[in-house]
Amino acid sequence: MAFNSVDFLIFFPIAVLVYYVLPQKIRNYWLLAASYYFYMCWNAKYALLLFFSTFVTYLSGLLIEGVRRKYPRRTGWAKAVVAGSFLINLFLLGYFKYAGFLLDNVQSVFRRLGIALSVPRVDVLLPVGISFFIFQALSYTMDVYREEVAAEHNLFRYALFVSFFPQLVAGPIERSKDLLPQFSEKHDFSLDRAKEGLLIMGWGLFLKMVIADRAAIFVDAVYNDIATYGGMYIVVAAILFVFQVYCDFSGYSCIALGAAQVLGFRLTENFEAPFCAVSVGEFWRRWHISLNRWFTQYLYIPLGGNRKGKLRKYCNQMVVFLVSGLWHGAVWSYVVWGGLNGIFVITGELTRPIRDRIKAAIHWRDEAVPVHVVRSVITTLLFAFSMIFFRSQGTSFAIRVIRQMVTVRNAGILFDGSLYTLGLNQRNFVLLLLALCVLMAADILRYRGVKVRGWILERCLPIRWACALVLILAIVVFGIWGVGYDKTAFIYFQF
Amino acid sequence: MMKKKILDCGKVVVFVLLVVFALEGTSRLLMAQDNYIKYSGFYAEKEPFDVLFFGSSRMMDGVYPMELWENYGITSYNMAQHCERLRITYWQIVQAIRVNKPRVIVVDVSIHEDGKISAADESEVSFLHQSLDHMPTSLSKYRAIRDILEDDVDAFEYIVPLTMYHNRWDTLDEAERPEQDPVLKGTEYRIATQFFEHSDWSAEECASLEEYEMEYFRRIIELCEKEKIPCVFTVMPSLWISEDPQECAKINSMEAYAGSLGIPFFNFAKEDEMINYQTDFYDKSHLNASGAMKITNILGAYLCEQYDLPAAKKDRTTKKWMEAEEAYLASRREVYEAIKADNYPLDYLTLINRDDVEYVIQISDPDCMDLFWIRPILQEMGVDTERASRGEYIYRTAGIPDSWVNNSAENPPALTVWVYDKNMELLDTAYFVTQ
Repeated sequence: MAFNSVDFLIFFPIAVLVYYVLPQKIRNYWLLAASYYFYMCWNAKYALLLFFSTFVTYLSGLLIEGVRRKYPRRTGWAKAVVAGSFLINLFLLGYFKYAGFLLDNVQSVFRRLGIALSVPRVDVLLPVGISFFIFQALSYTMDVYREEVAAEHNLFRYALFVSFFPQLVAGPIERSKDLLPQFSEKHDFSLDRAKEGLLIMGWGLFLKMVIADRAAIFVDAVYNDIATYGGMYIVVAAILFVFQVYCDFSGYSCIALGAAQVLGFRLTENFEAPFCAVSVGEFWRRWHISLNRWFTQYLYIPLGGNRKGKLRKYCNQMVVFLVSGLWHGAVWSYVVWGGLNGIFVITGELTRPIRDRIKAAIHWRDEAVPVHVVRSVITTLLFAFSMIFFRSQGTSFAIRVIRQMVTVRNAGILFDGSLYTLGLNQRNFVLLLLALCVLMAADILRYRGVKVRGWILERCLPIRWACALVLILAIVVFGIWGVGYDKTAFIYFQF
Repeated sequence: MMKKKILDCGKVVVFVLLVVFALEGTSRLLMAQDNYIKYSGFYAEKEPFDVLFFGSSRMMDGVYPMELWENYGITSYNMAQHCERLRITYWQIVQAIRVNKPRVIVVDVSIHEDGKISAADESEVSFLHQSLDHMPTSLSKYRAIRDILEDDVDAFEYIVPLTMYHNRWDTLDEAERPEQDPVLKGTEYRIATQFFEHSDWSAEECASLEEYEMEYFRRIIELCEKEKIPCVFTVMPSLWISEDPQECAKINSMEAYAGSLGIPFFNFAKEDEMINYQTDFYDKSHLNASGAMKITNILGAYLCEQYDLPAAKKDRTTKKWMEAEEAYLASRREVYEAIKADNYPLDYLTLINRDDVEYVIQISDPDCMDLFWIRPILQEMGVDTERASRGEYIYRTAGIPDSWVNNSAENPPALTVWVYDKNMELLDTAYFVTQ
């Protein structure tokens, strides 16, 4: 069930209504049932997988607590339980997501060595959101081990933490110490909170349906025929793809955040105006925040973080980016994408002293707006370049795309109307640019600490209603939906 | 506290209503323009119509409501729609009489097949939207959709037409969008002419129709009985039907069934003495203006006589229809001017081939009859084409007095037409050249 589907339009009000009508004691059971129903709408049998992962990590929490109580001085048992929980969950993830990738690569290596090896094909359907809920469940095991959160004894409450429907299939990946205690809190209905939640959901739908899905039309047209559309077509498509992914994923995150807020829960904001960042390093602190936090806490810091010298720090950063790339999908191009971003971050840090000296020599001040804009644009372009690998689903194809982009000279297409022939006519293209301007304006305000939704909600009733009506009509009229539209196409669902 | 809660509830209700109104308005604004215009006059009419016409495009092209008003004082609306099956027509009637209950209903049963429509059939789906999208959202519309579609998976796009039309904003041009269509009252003007040879009704026997084929024919009869609205059935002239013995036999059965219940059934495809196959068809299935005028007049006379129409009307109804008539006549004149400017005498003669005008036709170049393909229509209008082919010839209808004076130029064009009303007031003059 996608957030931008009619099914969700029916499901969500019912879920909310029943939640607030039921007595406090049984509300979590209702949310758990609703969450499993939500998940089972994609593939009912994979609810077993969700439950299995939940049960393993739930058990691991109890075991860690138990062995700690019984053997307070022997941490080895607790470590073994953590390892067991990680092994089982990562095996599940590996089987469903990476088995085919691994076997293909083994076969390829053997072929290169001249050995004909017949490996069985692993042809399983990837469970939606598997990377998200398994990472969230594992974070619980780790948090219990680190004693950041007490082991949850109530299986239903814990199961709800893993399967909470607003963030089940595409995050944000919540820390147990942030979300789990909220299931023990009492949530009375608050109209103000519901209004804010609905406004956030509306903004998320706007990002997804008006910008992301509109940009996708152009991007797909170019990537589906790069032999015809080279040069500036690819440049425009690459830049639009960055905004497509941003609006698709941050749109989803907003809907998740808003839906949870209507129900009285607080989730992590997954994006913080990433295109205002002035370096790739800062960009990654603002992009998919919950995943990067997970990798920082459960991979980067255990590897040593920045505590063991600069070289080790850069190595750790590189490992995190490569693993992050692999997390996105079982294709080498994702790994290259992660690696490229790692290189950008590390190079940025290595060259900082030189850059600082140059800036001082030419009297550039970082706080000056033009300097900020130039740095943000460069950061965005670097990220956009790396995203060619993200979009290409294969390194050889990505290299072909880059070659086509570099070798074909057709700057004229930016001005002669050729851009309007790739699925978006002139009005649609202009609308896309206007919507991107609205997005950037909102992000700049956010970067400066102003939340637009907060500003709207503080205004008088006519302004609030006018803003809400405009948002609804913009989604309905300008959104890409209706006949012929694939409503399940949130990019991050595949991860 | 309670007061605040009540106030909050009130605000929520008002806001939801605002959203609904805004979406409904947006839907109407973005709905397919031709479809919107087609039914706008129906929904704008507050007084009951004398007659509503239903059926497929054959009916849509076959009866002109404004001519019924002009000649018989009957207020009517043509609700027929392209490719409309009887099953859809049934629901059209159900929906229409909820909005405006007429004194008589006329239903064309040329397309009597009434199977369900599959969402996979794109052309049928497109026509279905034309039939359904104008209907206001209601439970009855939902029932109609469930009944018409083979599967209800795609029902949402019919219940909420915005699903289809929301992305039309990029082609929306307000300047080209009239608020409503006062001129055609749901009908469609077909002006061009195709020549056909006369086709006899190809079956006299009745065919046994499957139960499902008769179901909606019966349901329409039952609905009209229940609503106490007299019902008249027609079959518009169509070569597709008359050349197909199976179709003919099935329609014979329907006619027999209607006859057994004492319901009038006009099979114009069979009883086609009044139809000229060389002048009255737009294509094999649709009448042009000349043919439509003939059917309109037959039905007008019949409805007036049988149902005591026109009904006594309130002043404001009459005034509104008089205004509509003025607009209609102005629009007709525009059509005439366009045809004259394009030098299409065949279309012009097709349009003036009416009982309510007198005309004089001067043929100065006999070759023009073949160049313009006008020989059949001239014959239909009473011109002695044999004589005309021998040299300059002037034909006058019976109403033109002997005192009529030809005041044309010394070198007249190939064809000149003067059109008068019954009081000998000159309505129009047309000149056509052979180049």
